[in-house]
Amino acid sequence: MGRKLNQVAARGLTLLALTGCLVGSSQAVPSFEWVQTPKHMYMLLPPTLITDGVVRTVQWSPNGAYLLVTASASATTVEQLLQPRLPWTGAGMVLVYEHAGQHVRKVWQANDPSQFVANVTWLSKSNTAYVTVQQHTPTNSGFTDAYGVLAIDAASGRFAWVPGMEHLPQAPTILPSPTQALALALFDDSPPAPEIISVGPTGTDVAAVAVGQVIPDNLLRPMGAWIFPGADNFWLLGSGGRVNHRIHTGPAPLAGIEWGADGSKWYFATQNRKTKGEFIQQLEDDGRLTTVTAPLYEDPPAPNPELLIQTKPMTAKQRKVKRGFNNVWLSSPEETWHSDALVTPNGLLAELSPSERAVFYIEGGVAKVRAIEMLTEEQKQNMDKALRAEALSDVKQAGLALLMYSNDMDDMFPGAGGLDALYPYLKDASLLDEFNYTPPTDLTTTHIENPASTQIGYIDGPGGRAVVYSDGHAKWIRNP
Amino acid sequence: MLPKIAPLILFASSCSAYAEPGQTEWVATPNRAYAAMPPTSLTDGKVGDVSWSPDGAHLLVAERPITTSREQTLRFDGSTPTYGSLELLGWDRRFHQIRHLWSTEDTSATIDNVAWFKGTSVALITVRWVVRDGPQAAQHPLYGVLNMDVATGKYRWVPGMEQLVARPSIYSSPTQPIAAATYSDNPEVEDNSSIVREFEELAKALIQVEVKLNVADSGGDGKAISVGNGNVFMVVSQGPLANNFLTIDAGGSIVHAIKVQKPMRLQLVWNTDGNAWFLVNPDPQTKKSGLAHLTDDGNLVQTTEQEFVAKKVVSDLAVTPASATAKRGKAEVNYTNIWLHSQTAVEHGEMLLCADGEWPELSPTCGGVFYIEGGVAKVREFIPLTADQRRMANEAAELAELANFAGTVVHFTIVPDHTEPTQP
Repeated sequence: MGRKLNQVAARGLTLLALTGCLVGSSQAVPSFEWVQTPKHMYMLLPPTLITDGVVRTVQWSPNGAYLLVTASASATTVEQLLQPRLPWTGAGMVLVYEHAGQHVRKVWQANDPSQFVANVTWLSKSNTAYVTVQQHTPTNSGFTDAYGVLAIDAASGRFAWVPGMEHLPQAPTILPSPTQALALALFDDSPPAPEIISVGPTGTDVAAVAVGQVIPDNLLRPMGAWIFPGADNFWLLGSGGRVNHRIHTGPAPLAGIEWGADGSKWYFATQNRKTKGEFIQQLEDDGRLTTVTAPLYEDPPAPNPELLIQTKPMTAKQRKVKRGFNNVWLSSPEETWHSDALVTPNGLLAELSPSERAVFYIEGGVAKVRAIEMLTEEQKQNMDKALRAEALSDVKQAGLALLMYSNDMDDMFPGAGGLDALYPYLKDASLLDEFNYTPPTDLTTTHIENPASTQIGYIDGPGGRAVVYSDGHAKWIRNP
Repeated sequence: MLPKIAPLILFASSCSAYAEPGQTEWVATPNRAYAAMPPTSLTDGKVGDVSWSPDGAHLLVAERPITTSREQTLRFDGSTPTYGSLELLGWDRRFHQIRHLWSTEDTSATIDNVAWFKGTSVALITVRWVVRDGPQAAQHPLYGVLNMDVATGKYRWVPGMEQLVARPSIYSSPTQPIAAATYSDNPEVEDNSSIVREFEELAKALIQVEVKLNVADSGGDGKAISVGNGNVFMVVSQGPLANNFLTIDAGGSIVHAIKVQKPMRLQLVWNTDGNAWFLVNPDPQTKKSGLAHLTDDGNLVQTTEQEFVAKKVVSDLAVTPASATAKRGKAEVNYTNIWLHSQTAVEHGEMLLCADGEWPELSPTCGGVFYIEGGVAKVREFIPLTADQRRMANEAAELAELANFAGTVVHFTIVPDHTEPTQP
């Protein structure tokens, strides 16, 4: 059914294209696909091109208003192509897609091919994202790494290095508050610890091995987000790269980090495995730890998603060669009359935005976003009207094809599986994909007693079905 | 509570690292193997004409950005989508560069024809637009010919061919960087012979199928044109009506011009050396078809010159579409896989160019391919591989498969439930 409306929608375009003399070489119009959920109808809009570079990281802002994509340039020589694709191959760049305007802009570009983006953290309720840039420089004895943290304002596209975090010897960890525009940055400013990431032959991280941790009291375990041992700087970052508070101390306790109930303060937290008792400590400005009693943040129950991304592996074959790819579908978790829409026949790494209003994917080496529009009641009614008209038109054409067939075949309708025989009678045989043929028990048309009330087929539509009768007339019947 | 995850997992989970499977794509033919470079996206606008230069070094694309607003899209009132200004893009294979070459705000402008000068990056581009001379006057087309160097982006209108009332025909020499152009001064006879129109009523909408036949490309013979509904039109090409005959060099200068009093409808062809053009004219005595030289005073003088006949070149590679269907629940969508393959069956002779493609245009030298995938126009360069590189490509493909397998295993191990420290 989705395709049908596309054809209707595209018909105007076809006319325009043809009369505009773009004959013979104009592509099909990007199709509009939609999903009906029990509550709403959603339409997938045509894609917006993000980049044809090699995408490294993708992260939606918590409210889904922005998408931050980090990428590097694609290979342009065979030598580059045949090299293992290391994470630092090619200078990194940061792109921001703005959902409201459906446009993309490049907000930062590394000026050195050894620089790449290692991590992205969005703040809650803010347009700020913190981006950790890693510089991986070859030396005589291997590589040296340095890290810097960029604050990016997605709304304006501006960026600034976080003061004091421009050049760190070790990777910082940035933990966003779940409710406030705050993040805790913790890092060790001493010389680097042993390498903890080894790189596989094709550049993918094949071994993520944590540095061994020793928990002195094995009854206590860190709660929340665990921290790297050795972190001795604890900075509270606000929006726009502002450092709200800095604490420099000795090595941190072997505890986890938890945010307080209102998301404005962070704590060291451990839990007794047996008693489940929580041990909460606050880091004071002078480095002392004070034990406090503070309620910790609890995640609210996750709302039921209204839309889901589903992938279906497919295989293309030519001679002896088989190639796999994935159909990416946007689906309603509950079945409706139209619960699935094809986002792309060939998608990788599809990511629905947290607000379920856009989907990111990579199609044939090019990163794209398709916006998802929830239709207003008026839009839904207009669309339903268009769909019903289309279903009626299609079902009528199918009915006429059946009648023409019966005229040529001594007043006999085709059998239940014989719809292929109608192809010569149809301008667009694809409408049969939607057509449900319900042949009369006696296929001889002259034996039908009341042709005007004998149903011979139907096409499902919104809230009902378009039905065709054996005299060729069609009408819309609402679902009971 | 924040999820209980190991330090590195925290690092990774906040920002998953994405990269496409590291597989070098390549295809073999009996003669050589080609690596398919990653695609370069050209535009997500509506693509019109696409033309490769004969040496495959440049690609010219005419496009219009789609300017239909979100609100307009969601109105469902049957209104037609809107497009921005016509723009010419050039892609340079050597420098992997996309250049915005030319654009016009005129919404009626379209690209009518592209003719490349042999051995250069220069093309003569015929632009067509529609004008109305007065408020009550009828519309009529105008044509202009641009001389465009796609490599540098420099262009100029061919002098005297800025505003023609009839469609010009351009004939590039097959061997030299020169071209011939013919056109008529009379707008009333504008390319009537070269347009076949078919009107059909379909679902109360008038669909106009306009098949434009480029007489200049038809080689002077009859040409069968299918209009897609089973009807086939036989068009006998006589050559367009013209009274102006020009010779143009690659700099866009007219090096020779002949104007005759009475327009003639004769096919123009180049001689075997490609250094002079002649008109196909039956010998008045023998009545056999022959070539005639057009003198400056407009007379036709029969010659013994022979017409240039291009050697048929069999391309090393070809593209083939294969239809596929995506199904889920009641939804069903058709799309087209595009395969790049060797003309002769060999080991590793096929490569899936794209799963959902349309309008593939292989370059004349097999150095690249243009196609549209999911609404985005792309170009991919093909580079011949040395024997060593071919071996490396094979190894890289095998390693990528191994890494993908290993990646699956690692992914399994980093699921939070599997990383919690074990009880002492």
